[in-house]
Amino acid sequence: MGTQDASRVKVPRRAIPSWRIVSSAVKAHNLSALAVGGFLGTCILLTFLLGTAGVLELGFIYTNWGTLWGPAWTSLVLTVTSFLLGLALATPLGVVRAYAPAIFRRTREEKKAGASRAGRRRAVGERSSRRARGTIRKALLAPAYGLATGYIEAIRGTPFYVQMWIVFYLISLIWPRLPNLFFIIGLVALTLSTVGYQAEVLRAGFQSVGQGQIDAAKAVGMRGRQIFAHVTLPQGLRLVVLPLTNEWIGLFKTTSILNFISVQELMFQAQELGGPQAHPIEAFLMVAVMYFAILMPLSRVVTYIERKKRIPGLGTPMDVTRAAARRRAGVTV
Amino acid sequence: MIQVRQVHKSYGDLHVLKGVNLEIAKGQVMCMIGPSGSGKSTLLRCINLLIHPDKGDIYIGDVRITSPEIRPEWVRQQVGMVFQSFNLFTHLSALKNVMLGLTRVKKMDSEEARRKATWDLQRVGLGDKLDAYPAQLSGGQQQRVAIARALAMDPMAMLFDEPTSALDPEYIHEVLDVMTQLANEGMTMLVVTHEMGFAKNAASEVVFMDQGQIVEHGTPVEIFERPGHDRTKAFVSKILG
Repeated sequence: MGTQDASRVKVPRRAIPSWRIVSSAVKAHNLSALAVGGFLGTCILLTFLLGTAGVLELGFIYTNWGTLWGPAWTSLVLTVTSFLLGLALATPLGVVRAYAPAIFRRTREEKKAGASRAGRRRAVGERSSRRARGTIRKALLAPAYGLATGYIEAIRGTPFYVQMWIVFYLISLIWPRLPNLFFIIGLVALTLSTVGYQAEVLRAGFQSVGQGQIDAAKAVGMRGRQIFAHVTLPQGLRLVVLPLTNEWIGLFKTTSILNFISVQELMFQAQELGGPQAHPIEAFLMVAVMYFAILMPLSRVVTYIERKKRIPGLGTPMDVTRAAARRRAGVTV
Repeated sequence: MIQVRQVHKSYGDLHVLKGVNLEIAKGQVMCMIGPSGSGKSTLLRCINLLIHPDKGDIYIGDVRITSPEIRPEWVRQQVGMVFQSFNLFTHLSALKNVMLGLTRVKKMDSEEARRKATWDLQRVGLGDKLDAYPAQLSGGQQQRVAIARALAMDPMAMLFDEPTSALDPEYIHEVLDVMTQLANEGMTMLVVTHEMGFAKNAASEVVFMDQGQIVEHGTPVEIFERPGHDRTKAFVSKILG
């Protein structure tokens, strides 16, 4: 209240031009509302214009709208499941990709420094089974790193369309009698693909956590795994919320390709509606609106969560809340 | 308490520590000065095994920590460390920053850890900032949280790596006050600092380090007013301005 009163006093009294009202609305973070409203408004306007011009048959859209819910649900389930499965599989890949090189380097240095150093991590009386496990882990590290890198490069270097057909022929060759065969093929293809992208995003996230944070955790006596669980992971995940959202959005749109293997998702339904009934424009427009109607709130939700879960000073500055805009206005006006 | 014997460390061709010897008695406060690149930070990091020396031995009490049998995590619990850039966990509140080591390393239950952490934060004068995140604290407050975090582990000794050189001048004194108070309580401290006032008030010995070696050591008055060595003279006259 105090700042508002003070600013009211300072503002010179003059007519406020209309563009100022628009710009202040934008400042108060109605930007997204404006964008969504504008988009939907344009859509509705265009639809009615085209409808009255006889290009679109509005009745067709009205009667067939209900057939979209099932396919939309399929697309959503495919996206959510493959995204979460992908995240679970991508985390270990990201860990290997992020930390293996440093461990290689350290081992090399220890070797150079002399054999006595190599054993320094063994505690007094530490059970030999634990030591053996450590050795095995180290021996598996190099092949794991190679495999992870190769897999990620292969996924990122080939189109999803190609990957999907490979998975399709592989699975239908090995388990041709699987129930829901096409759905499962689609799910496997999406998961295998998104793992590659998510692993790289996570690797970048883990590596963005500052060395100072790691040193501080070491300095209070935490062990490697504790440091990862309590410092690297919580900070890294917050840093990659945005790129992971992008991946999620991309994944949802990628489900449209699955219509080629007869998964009955949104795009499949568009073909069904558009082709035989000769209403292709209506059908594809309907599906486009459906994709948008699902994705837009989704990304708004992520932004909301990101803002709520944001730790002051960590990651990209997101000073776009209403309160912040008001505070800024209070300073500048 | 802490003994450093003939410690060497090099990175490739860069010989950072060239046979450093140092001895800090229990309850003693030692200040270390020297130009940048002289190996002060490296030496400090060797003492809590953030860096493992190539050659030489370091003892904490009777324990030879450079021995292969010693777990670095154990050493780091015995020796607290405060960094130049604070390094508070940015995703945790002040209280949680202090609690993390207690619950995870000391395996305290969270209620007990909360009590201890609160007490340690009150000790550095931040009892009212328990729930603030690092980014919401001033530099001086952040550094005091970092000191509380190190203290909470009940270390035998504390290492300070230029604790005030990243601070705005107005916050330096509050950190130095906490450190002086610690020194008066009998904490064993090794402090890399160029704060002459602190060195004179709190330290019993000042060490001048240059080019990976300890050039000279003595009481604060001896080092700052009657330096014996030419390199010490040149450096001291520089920091005195």
